[in-house]
Amino acid sequence: MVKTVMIWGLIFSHMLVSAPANQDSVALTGADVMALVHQESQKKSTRKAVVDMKIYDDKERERRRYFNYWTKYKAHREDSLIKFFRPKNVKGTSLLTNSNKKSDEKQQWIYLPAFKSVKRLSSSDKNKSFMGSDFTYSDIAGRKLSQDSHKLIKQTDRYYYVESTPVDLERSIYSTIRYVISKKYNVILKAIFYDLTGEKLKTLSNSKISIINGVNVVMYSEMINHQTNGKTLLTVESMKVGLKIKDDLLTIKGLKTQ
Amino acid sequence: MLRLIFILCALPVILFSQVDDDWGDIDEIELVDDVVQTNESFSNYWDEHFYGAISGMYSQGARHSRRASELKLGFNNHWRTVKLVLEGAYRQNIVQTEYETFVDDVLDDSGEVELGYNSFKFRQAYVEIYPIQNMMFSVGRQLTVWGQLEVFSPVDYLLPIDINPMGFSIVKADNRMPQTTVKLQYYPLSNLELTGYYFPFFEENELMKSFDFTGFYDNFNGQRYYTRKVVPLDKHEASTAFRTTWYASSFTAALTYFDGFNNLFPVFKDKYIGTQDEWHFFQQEYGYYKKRALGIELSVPFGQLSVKGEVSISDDFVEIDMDRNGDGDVLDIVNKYNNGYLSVPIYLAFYGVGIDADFDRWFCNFYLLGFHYFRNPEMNDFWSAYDARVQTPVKFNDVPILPVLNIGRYFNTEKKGAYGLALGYFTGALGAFIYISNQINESWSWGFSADIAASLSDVALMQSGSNQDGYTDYKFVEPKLTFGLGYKL
Repeated sequence: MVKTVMIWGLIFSHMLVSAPANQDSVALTGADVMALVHQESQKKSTRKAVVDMKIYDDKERERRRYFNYWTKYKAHREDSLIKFFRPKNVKGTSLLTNSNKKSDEKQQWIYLPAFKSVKRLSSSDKNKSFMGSDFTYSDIAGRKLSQDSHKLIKQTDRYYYVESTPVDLERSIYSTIRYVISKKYNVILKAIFYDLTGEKLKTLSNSKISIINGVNVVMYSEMINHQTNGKTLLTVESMKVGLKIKDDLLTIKGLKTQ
Repeated sequence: MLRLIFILCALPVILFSQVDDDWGDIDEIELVDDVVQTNESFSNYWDEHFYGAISGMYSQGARHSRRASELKLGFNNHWRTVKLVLEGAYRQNIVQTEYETFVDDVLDDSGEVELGYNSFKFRQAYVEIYPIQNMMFSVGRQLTVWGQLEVFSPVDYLLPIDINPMGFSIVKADNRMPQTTVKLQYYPLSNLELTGYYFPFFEENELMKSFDFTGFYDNFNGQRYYTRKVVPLDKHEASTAFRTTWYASSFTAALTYFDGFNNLFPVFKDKYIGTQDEWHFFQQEYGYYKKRALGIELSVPFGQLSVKGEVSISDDFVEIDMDRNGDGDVLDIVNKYNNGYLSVPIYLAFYGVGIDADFDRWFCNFYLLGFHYFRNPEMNDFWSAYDARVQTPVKFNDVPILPVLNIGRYFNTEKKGAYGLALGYFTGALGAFIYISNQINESWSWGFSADIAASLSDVALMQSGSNQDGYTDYKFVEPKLTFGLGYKL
C-alpha cells in the first residue's frame, strides 16, 4: 500500500477525526479501518488550534504549556507547526513537522528563539519527550499508514479493535499500538502503546469532541504513562477548521518567522 | 501435581484474558459543542504577543565590585502578510574599582573610582512583509545571527557584537548588536534559504565608541600629528551580505559572502609622514576598514550530537616590523606599494571544528578554533619587493589551536537548570567560568558564577582611562564571583 499519509498524528489527527461512516456491512481489514479513520480526519485540509497542555508527574505536580498549532493536508503529505506562547520559559519555541514523499520518516525541525537557530531533530531526538510531556516528538509527528501493519482483532456494534505493529521495529519505541475506534464517528477513542519489551507504556484517551465547520474535532485528550505514573492532558481552547493557511507557513520560513 | 497441571492449562487463558483486558474500559465520547468556531482569549493574545524581562547582577572581586541591570520590553504581532517587532531595553552598568594611573610608566595616582553608563535603546524595531509565497522582506533594526557552532562561530564573528555588561552568556544572540537592516529572503525550495542583507549604516558599538585615542599625537617637523579615527561615513558606510542555507535531511550547510567592515575591534595602522634626524615618523590611525569575507558552514547531526565545521576567510592586516631608526628598504617598499602604511592587507582564515551535544542529562560544546593568515594576492608586488630586499621573511602570528569548551550537567531531564564549566573564547568574553543556574518557577531564574575572565565590556572600559600623558590601570579584570537574578514578564 503506497499510502504516505499519517494515521495518528497524536493529539491532532487523533483529535481531528470526523463524521460517521457507513462501513458496517463491509468486511474490513485493520488497514481499512485505519485508512477510514485517516480519511475522515482529513475532511478539511487546514486547522488552527490553541491548545492547553497540562503535564503531571507521579507526584501530581502540574506544569502547563500553551501553544498554537497549524496543520495542512495536501495530497500525500501533511505538515504542521507548533509554536509555544506560554509559559515564558518556553515561549517562542516552535516545532515544524514535514512529511516526506520518499521516506516513511517525517522530518522535524525545532526553532529555539534564544539561539535564533533551526535544529533538525535526529531519529533519536524524536523518541524524546515533547516539551516534558508524555508525548514524544514522533507522537507529535504521527505515523504514516505504511509504517505499521494493522490487524483488526475484533469488533462490536460500536467499536473496532485494531492492533498495529511497526514495520521497522528498530526505529520505533513501540512494539505494538492497540486502538479502540468508534464506529459512529471514526474517532480513535483509545490508543494503548506497548514498549519494545511488550510492557504497557502509555494510554491515550480521547473523550470530548466538537463539531466545527462540519468536522468532528476531538477537544480533550488524556495520555497516561503507566511506567512513570505521569500524565498529560490536552484541551483545545479554540479551533478553526478550513481556514486559509499559506503553504510557506508550514516550512522552515514559517518556523523562523511565524 | 494437579496444581501444576491446573496452572499450565490455565496459563494461556490467564494470559489471553490479560491481553484482552488491556483494551480496558471504553467511555463513550462526549459531544461538547456543535457549531461555534471559538476565538482566542485576550490573555492568550497578551502572552503570545508581549514579552519582557527584568534582570540584575552583582559581582565582587578583591579590588572591584559591579552591579548591572536591564529592563527589556517587547511586542510582536504577525498579521496575515506583515509582522511587526518592537523591543526596547534600558541598561545600567556601574563598576566600583581600584585604579592606578601611570605617567611615563611611573605611578602617578591611585585610588577608587566609579565607572559606568546607562542607556535606553530600541534594540529591535522592524517590519517583515511577505509579498508572495516563500518570500520575506524585512526592514528595520534587528538581530542577525549566523553560523552553526552554537556558542562561538567564526562566521557569526563577522557581525558586530553587543558588548553586554550583564555578565557571561554563551548564547550568541545575547552578544549580538542589532543593526538597521534591509533583508530579502527567498526560498526557491522549502529547505533552501537565500538571503540578501543590506546594512545601510555603519554602527559602532556604544562601548567601542569610548575608545578615544584622538588625543594622542606625535611631534614631527614642529607639528602635532594626532591619531586619526576612521569611521565609515555617508555613501561609504553601507555593508552587504548574501547568504544561502541548505537544510538538507542529513546536514545543514551554509555559504556566506560579506562585504562590510571590521565590525568588532578597530584596526590600528601607522602611516609614514617623514624622516627627521634619521628617525622615521608615522601618524597613527585606527578604526574600521573595508572587509570582505567568505564563510562556509557545515553541520551534520549524529543522534543528539552534531559535528560541525566553519571557516571564514576575510580581509585583515598585518603590521610589518620596521626599525624606525633605519630600515630604509622596508620604508621604500611600504611607500611604493602600500601608500606608506606599515599595515599590509592580508587574508585571515578563521576556522572552527567541533561538536555540539545536548543529551538528556548533560551537554557539551567543544571546538578547536584556529587563525591562519596568508598573503593577499592583490599585494603580490609588495611581497615580491619585500622578499627580494628583506632577509627575514614576515612571520604571521597564526594561532593553530584555540580550544573552547563548555560542558555541564542538567539538574534533571527537564533541562531547566544546570551547572557547568566554560573555558576559552566566547563571543563576549575570554576566560574560565564555573557556573550554576536554575529556574525558581516559570518566571524567576537565578545564576551564580565564579570566573577569571576578561569581557569585551571590560576591555572597552579599560581603554577609557588612557590619554596622551599616561594610562589608568583599572583593577576589575580579576577573579570574581557573580550572582544574577532574572524575572520574565
